[in-house]
Amino acid sequence: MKKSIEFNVKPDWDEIEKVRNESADFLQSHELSDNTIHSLSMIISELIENGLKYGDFTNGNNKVVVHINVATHTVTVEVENPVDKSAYKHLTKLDKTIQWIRGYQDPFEAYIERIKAVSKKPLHDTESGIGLVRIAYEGNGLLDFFVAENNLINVSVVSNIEREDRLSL
Amino acid sequence: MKKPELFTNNFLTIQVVEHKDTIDVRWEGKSVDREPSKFISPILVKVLEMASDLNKRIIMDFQDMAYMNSSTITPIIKILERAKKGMTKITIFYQKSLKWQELNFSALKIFKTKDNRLEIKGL
Repeated sequence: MKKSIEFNVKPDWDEIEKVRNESADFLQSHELSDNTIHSLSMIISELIENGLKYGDFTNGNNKVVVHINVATHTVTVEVENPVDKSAYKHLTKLDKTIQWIRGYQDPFEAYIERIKAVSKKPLHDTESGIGLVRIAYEGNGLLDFFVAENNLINVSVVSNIEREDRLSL
Repeated sequence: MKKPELFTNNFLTIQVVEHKDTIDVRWEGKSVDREPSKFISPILVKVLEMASDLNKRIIMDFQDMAYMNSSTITPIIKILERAKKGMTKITIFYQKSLKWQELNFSALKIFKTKDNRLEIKGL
């Protein structure tokens, strides 16, 4: 059984659903429960969505790279994509959001606070702002990121796998 | 019962049916668009207005939803906030046995009202 898998995602929104389905098949091969697979698939989708929204794909060869690694007690999802200077504002926001989520002992509280804030925004405002906090709450994932020298941003999520998350135990 | 209205966008179908006392809004499939609110919000705003004009309860059923991205949750939250401020009655049904639905919809219980005008129920 393969412990890890990598996807090269073209900058096309329709690719997300394809990767979500293929990564679910990979996770299924590790005998994870349906709920766990759904939760990890959500993490993968949300991270790719962010990658496509804020990445730099002006060079036709640029892509989003998704790496999934299944260990005994954790699943790590890493999503990497190129960024340009216009993304720096987003990186500051990303950093602040991750620190803000970590400030809560229970991510549920952060999720509720975010819902309250979003509910007050106008209907035509299409920015969600829920994705990262949803990863922490629903996906029970620990978020982190770094920017490499070659302007590649790497966002990672480590999600704990409990005994009940596995079908074979 | 009036003829059901079907709204479809990619993998998502929203069915709206007007009954004697309720307006049923049934969600089915997956919502994975980049900006799903462009499709969802106009439908929900129209249903909210209908419910208000005809004094009917909106029954929003998410049990047949397989997946929704976080951008889909946003317009639902905003509609609940608007309904809470007004007089509209809304009941949301979700599938309790699905962990993702339980986690997402139980969090929306912050919009519940004491007079049961807004209800969130896991089945």
